[in-house]
Amino acid sequence: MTMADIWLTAAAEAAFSELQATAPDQANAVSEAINNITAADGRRIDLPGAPAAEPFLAIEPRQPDAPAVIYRHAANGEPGKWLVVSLMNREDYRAARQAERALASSPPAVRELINGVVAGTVATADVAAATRTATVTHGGAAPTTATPGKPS
Amino acid sequence: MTETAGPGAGPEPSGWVKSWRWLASLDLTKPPAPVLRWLGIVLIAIGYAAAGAPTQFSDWVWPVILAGALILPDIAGFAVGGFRLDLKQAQDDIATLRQEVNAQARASSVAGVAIGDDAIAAWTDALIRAARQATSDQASGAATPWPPPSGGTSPQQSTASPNRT
Repeated sequence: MTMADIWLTAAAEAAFSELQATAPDQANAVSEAINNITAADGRRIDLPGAPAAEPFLAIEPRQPDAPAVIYRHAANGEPGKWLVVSLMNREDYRAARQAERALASSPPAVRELINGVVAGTVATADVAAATRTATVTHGGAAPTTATPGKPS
Repeated sequence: MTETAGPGAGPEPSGWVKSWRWLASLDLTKPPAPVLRWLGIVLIAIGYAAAGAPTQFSDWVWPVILAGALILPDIAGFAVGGFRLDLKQAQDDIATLRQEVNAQARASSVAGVAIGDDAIAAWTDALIRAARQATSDQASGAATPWPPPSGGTSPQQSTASPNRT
């Protein structure tokens, strides 16, 4: 393995830098987890937004409060073999895992409904970003959308 | 104008079929059926008394069968030796049991919906939050090889091949 096998997104790099500054012990745990990416089996986490052939994987650092490392195989056109996509707040990660487990034992209709809502919400956010539309969600309420006025 | 039956319509049922359906739809336990049944039994008894008491066993068979059929809906149970079958009690028990099962089914279904609302909202919220973070971070693109210039411990040399999950 060479160092360049693993790449970080700009967001992951920023999060890691901030972690180094604020919680060095957590940063060390994250660093260890990232170093183990090529050797360890990451757990697949089914979140929409990943390339079809490269689902998101996750590793939990040993430090229980350190953020989870969300990563995936590099897609075509991306450098390296692995891409660390995000450092996810551990509570958010656990909540997502718990939701995933609960969904697995739910009736298919419920599963489809929630997956559809999650995928639709994320897709909407992506489209909104692409069209320079700001979408703001307030704690579970319906999102409010504001589009900047177009020049006439 | 002549009306014709559509392609899906079946043949008109015969008179016998209609009569049988009408008979099958009758509830012999509700008035005036009990009065008519007991009247039939009395008429059979009167007819037999008028004709003279039968002397042979075979002459008793058909009137007994007929009278038995007429009285059957009113029979509440059988008792043969130590065995006793209380039909009315069994009917009542079945009706009670059915009501209890239905009540439980309704209660559990309502509870399922009540629990489901909160749980589904929580799951959806958790997944949306995680998915949003992952996708928005992913959108920032591959920027830096690991370890970043700002720090991070170098990995130990490993010959293990990447495992795809």
